[in-house]
Amino acid sequence: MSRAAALQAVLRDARLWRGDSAAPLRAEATGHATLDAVLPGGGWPLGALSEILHARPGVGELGLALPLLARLTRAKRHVAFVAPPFIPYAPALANAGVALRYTLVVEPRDTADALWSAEQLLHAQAGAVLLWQSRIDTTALRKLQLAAEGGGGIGLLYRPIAAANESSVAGLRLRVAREEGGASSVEVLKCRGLRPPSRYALAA
Amino acid sequence: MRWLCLHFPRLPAEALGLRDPLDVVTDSRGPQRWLITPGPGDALPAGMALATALSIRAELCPHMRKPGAERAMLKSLAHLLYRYGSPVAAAVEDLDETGRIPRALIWLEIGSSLRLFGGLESLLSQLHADLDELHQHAQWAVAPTRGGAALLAVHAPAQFLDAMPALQSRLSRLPVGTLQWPGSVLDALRGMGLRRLGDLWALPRTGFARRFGAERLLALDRLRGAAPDPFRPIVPPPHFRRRFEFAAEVEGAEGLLFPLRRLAFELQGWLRARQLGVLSLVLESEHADRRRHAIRLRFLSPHRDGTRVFEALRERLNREAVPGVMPGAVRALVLKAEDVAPTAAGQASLFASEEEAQLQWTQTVERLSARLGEAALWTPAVHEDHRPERAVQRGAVQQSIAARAAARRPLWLLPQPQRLPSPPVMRGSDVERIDSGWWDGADVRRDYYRACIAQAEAWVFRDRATGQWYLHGWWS
Repeated sequence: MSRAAALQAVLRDARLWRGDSAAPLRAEATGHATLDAVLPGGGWPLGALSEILHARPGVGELGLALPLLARLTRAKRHVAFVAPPFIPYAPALANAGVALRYTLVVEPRDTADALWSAEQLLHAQAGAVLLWQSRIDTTALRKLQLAAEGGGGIGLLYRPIAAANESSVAGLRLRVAREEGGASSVEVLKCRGLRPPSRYALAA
Repeated sequence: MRWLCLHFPRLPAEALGLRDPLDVVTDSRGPQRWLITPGPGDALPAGMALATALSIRAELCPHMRKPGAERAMLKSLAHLLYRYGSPVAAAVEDLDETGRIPRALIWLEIGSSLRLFGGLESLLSQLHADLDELHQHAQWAVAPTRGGAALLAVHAPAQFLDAMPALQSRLSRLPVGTLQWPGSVLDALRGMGLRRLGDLWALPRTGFARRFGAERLLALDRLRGAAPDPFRPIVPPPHFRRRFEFAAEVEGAEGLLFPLRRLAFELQGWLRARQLGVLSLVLESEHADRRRHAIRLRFLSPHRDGTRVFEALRERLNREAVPGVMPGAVRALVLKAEDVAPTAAGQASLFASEEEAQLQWTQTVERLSARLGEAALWTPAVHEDHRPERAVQRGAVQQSIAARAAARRPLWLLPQPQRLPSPPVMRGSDVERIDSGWWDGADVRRDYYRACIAQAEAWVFRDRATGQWYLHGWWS
């Protein structure tokens, strides 16, 4: 390999971020046009972990992932809910176009089992794994990130707002909240390859 | 006929699950005890008196043999090897005489399967790979007669003799001591100056029969193919049930893994021989005071992959082989196939990347349900009912469901409606009235609204019978 080619190879590495341009990133559209327009790669990064911070359930945090779930399951990719806070309601999922037979709900007894399950499912090339955890340490985050890289799927980690103060290996960090009028908005806190832009309204 | 004979010299030890070279198995007759498996090194051959052996290596750990366990293990090996040839025969040749070593033998007629496996070498390498998987040591020989193949496998292994004359000339050079005959007969033969099998065949037949019995003459004839050699062929049983008994009680999951692996691969062999896949199985552990613990496993699709069975069982054992769940140390394991179904013969296809991904997913889900319990995994399913709590069903994983368009519903449903202390702040004036279930006793008369609770959007209802307000879900 010539020196130039070697340099090109280094520059193409997905782990490299150059301040002047958006790094090429493989991603899957979120289905929310305004959000896709600003995210590097145009959506959820593939083979990576993304964090969704929210104060409480019911602020639009699941709606954010819904178009992705619908698209993946209709393409016969499996998606999994690991340790959800409530019952993912089948009629509402079906209404949103999610193919239920490719949807798996896992209700582990404790944090260790939840992390293990999410990791196993990401490894098994799940289209997307949604995991709810209030406390999660850096080692566990790294493991999940590695599993997502190995399986090439999308890992969505739901965490409380307070987690915004902790550092994270996740390439993308969003904060979801409900506005006064009842509509949801999403704020990009961190995204790999771009300076974080600001807040966007979600189509209900 | 081309008989492949396998001799298992360490079977008495393997049947007891002994793996340390210092563990030796002994047989006994009255006060006498002698080794039937060799000790470490060349100084301690099988057949040596135990007292002598202990005077050479005091740290030897002698165990009494269990003939029943040996026969059971040989039989299960015969079932496992069934796919390499047919018919299959097996025997433990035992002589009730001091200092004699039993011979555990399996015969496979491979004349018709040699081409299927692409020659002897490839057949043997596959067969040895199977045996290695089980940590089973075997010596082999191929000959046109069963007796001839057995003598070669025990005393001059790794030979392929295709023709009768070649076998006869090879056998005629073997010493008479190689015959599994009573010591008195062998001594008499030696006393007459007959040292080799060839010497016996050269004797006048009628005289030999009169002196040593017609049975011995028949045995000699069978060795060289001069007399028919009937036997009872072994066929795999219609049900799979295998038991593994430990030499000592085993605590914790670690010690169970080796025999578990073995049982899983025996199941694989049985499934292969019968062209079946397993759907559900039971692993029973036996404990002190006749207590038992059963682990039941279901697979999402029929398969015959020993590793997949082993991995799933290992996950369960890691979780369940703890005090409080299992009743104490384990004495024996029993693996039973409960439900089997035919599978497609070729498990590997050429364009299988999508299938493979599906298989990987299926296996992962099985592993999860093995560790977390079957109730912890489910697939949402829509059920035709107006009552919200009845409209969601916990489907068994991956059952196919026909989704239907329902009224607008929130994404999160609370497992139980939660009573609200005061009427919430409504958002909008949409109301959905649900009047249902008067026919089955779960009467529901509710008005559903959207409300705002703590900056999140809630799905609430007022019970029209009591006027109470409840939280039932979150719009998300």
